[in-house]
Amino acid sequence: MTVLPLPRLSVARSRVVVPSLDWVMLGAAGLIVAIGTLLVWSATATNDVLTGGDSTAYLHRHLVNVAIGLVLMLVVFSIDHRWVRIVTPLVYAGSIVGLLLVLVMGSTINGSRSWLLIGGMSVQPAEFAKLAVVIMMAMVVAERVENSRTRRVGLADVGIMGAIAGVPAVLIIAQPDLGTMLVLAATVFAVLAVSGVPRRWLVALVGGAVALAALVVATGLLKPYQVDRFLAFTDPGLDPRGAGYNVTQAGIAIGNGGLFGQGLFEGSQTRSRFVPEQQTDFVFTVAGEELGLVGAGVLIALFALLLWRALMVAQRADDMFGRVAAAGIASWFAFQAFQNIGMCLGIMPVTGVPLPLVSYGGSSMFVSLMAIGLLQNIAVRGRGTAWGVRAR
Amino acid sequence: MSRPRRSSRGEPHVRLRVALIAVTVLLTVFAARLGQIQGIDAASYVERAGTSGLVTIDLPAQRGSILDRNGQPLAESVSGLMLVADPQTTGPNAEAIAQVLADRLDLDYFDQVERLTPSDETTRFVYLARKIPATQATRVVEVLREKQLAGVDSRPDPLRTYPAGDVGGNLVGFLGDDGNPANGDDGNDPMVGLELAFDGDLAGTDGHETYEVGGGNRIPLGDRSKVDPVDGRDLRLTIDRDVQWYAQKALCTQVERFDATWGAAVVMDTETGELLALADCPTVDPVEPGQTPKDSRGSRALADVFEPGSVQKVLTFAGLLDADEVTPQTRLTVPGELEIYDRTIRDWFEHGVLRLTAAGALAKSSNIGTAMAAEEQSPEEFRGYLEAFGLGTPTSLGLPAESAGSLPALADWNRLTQAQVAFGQGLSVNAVQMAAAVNTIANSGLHVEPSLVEGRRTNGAGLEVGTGTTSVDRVVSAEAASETTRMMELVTGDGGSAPNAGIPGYRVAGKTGTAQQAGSQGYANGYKAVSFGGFAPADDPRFTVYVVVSDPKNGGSGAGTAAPVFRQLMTHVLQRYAVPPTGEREAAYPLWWKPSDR
Repeated sequence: MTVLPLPRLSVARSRVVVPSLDWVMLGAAGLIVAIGTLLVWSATATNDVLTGGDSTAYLHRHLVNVAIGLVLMLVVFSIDHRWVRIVTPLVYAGSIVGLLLVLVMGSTINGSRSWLLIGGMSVQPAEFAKLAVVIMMAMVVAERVENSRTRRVGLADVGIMGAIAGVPAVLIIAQPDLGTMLVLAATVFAVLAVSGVPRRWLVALVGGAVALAALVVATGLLKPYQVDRFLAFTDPGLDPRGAGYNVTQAGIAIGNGGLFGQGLFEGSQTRSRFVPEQQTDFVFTVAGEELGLVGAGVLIALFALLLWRALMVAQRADDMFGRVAAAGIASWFAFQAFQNIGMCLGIMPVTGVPLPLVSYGGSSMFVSLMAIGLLQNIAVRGRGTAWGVRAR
Repeated sequence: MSRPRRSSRGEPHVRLRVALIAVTVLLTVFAARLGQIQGIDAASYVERAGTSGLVTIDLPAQRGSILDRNGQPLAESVSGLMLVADPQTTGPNAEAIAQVLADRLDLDYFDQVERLTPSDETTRFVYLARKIPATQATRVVEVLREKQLAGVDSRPDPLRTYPAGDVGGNLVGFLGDDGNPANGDDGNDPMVGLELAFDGDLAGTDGHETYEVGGGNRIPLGDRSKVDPVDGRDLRLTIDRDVQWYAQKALCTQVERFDATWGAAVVMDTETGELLALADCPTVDPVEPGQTPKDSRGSRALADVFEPGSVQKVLTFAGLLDADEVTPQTRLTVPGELEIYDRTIRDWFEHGVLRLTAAGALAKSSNIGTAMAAEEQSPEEFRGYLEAFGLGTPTSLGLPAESAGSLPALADWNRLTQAQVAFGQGLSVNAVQMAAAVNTIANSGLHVEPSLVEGRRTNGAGLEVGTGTTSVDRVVSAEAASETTRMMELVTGDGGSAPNAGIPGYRVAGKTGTAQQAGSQGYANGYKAVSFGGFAPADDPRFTVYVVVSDPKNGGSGAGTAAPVFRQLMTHVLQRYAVPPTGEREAAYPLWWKPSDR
């Protein structure tokens, strides 16, 4: 597109906002990815079991993941929002198919059947499902609200959205992937809240979720190791060799960092590989030990910046789709980061979710960067873009 | 359609602000928690980081067995366990755990408390006790587990046993703590004997395992590396455990009866040079070596040298016969005394002038007669024969701490030296050297290197030894050996010096020896070593037996002290190996000559 369509309301107290990316958000995301790359490298450099002796093996793979993710981000960013309504159901359907395939032919890692092996790469459909659910729900909300006379969300809409979230949720629980399920639940709740669902329904949802959780625990639907993790959360010393081990070691590693940390590639606990899954779920402990309070604080601050900008994008979005999608992504990132960092800090139970934009792992990195791309897409549109002008 | 009252609370923008506040609160909580862990509690976490670490333990190799020629074990390793502990874990319960160890394993309570209490914050591994029979150690670990006293574990630790007790103990050696910290204080260091000489083969290679300890416990799936131990090789001896037992018993009976300092008995297979027994007295029990005086814990048959005395005359005459300088019937006119330089040589019995044949000189063990006969030979030739018999050079058994003995150098050799050496004074030998020398006569003049281990094995000094390396060298002709043998038969016959060495049904060749040994002030405060060397059956020798008893009191002599041991041992092996009795006797050489015989 070489010529911008002329703004129709260019006269009379409206001003043209130059189409602009949210550079603050991009900068924060870029820094998080950069720090994350160093942390993943540091966590794996001396782990010969993982890398087979090549200290940069994981660095290389992580950089490849980032590169692919950036391409996907650009693709999502440049999609015309009219296409979004066509693409969204396809993405959603694709992720459902992926989740089904995982249950049928997935490979089991750490007790969960969550990975699909496609062309030598292991793909985690649940990661993609998070984004798919957010945009699918946003689309439904937008369709209902913008095309109905009431412009309010009714019971039927909540039911439809519940179904949209419910199908992947059931499939994710079946893997079982409790962490992703929790992130999904929090995201759905945020989406519903932003969609304007009456407050009493939201309260009812929370109450229902608590009751369901109690029922699940009571009926023993959870795997024993999942229950152990929650018990270990309440008292890590209960079984320091087993379920509480991760939490204990994570705490030791972070505590070992002190104010300024041991220095990148210098953390003794990280070098000794006391913290399991340190390049993925416990990557924050590397920041804690090697970068210290200051470094880990900077990482948290960058997430705060990112989330603030994401919520701003939601705030400024000129359509329901953009607002709901941006808020959904923001709450997804927020809850997942909260879940991940919280578990490293011992204030959340251990559930295996990656730290967005930081943890090693292709699926998570791809979908996180795609989400950033979507946020930018919405931001550009919201401020007045190639597709329209925002009037004040 | 729509409600009149519209609350702003349902508006998306309001809810987004709520979300923003929620995110802010959450991240503030994180920052606070991070500050707590890294700022306020940092010290305790740093300490815990220090208590995590890598621990390396040894995985002891199974030590090879030492077996006799029939595969009977003289030393073997059985499964045992060591008890180890993580003092960081056991520290709080040190007294309770030590009490259990003291009750069940008889370990010192206070020592154990000390071991179980951490000496510093980084020690994660201590040995509590080693080489405990597996059942006992397992039971202790179970008891501790029942009492919920954590931190004590067991690991494999092979236990050395010596099922034959003191049989062959002086040869086998034992393990102990050599005090070298580099070798550990596990009491597994070979101290003497075969255990030391062939340690390289027997010990194998210990493995080791490194694993991670975090928060006071072994990390189940943590980093670990394991190098499996390579077990040691068995060592098979030429020793026959039963003959060895019998030899020790017969020897020690005599050593005790005559209140001697020590004794040695060698039983050798004539043709192969294999030692069927190498007995020492005092014996040593490898399990409790401390019960035996320090200088008797090895093999004195190899370590101690002595002047061989009259057995040496056999070698002297064999050399003379081989060089055709003497025949068994060579007539010797033996005076009562023989003056050489300032020394007067006498015989063990007073006599006037005797007309002895060479055979008679040996049979009657005349020093003067032997010295006179030896004058027929040049010093070079004479000494050359003795070297060929193996005197002055260590044997090829491969055991440590062997003394080679000494043969005077040619430069120091004079007429007196030759006379004295001819009857076994002025040189020193060890018992195995002397047995091998006598065996040369039995083996038709061929000197066979004695051997103690089967096959080809390399000892700690890098020497390749064993039955596979035996070398055979001709020293004297078969005819000379045969003539010497017939002369030696006279010794055990009627009129010989040791008729009590004879064995009914077999022809036995032998020679007694009684030699003054120099003490700290020469022969003045010396003592004597009595010996007997011989072989049977004389017409087709199968075994050579050499017995030496050092410093017998109560009138000990070669004939009275050593010869009975010889006879018992020889009888035993002849029967055990089912050697058929001898057939015809040959006519005996005359001992005397008369001028009229011409």
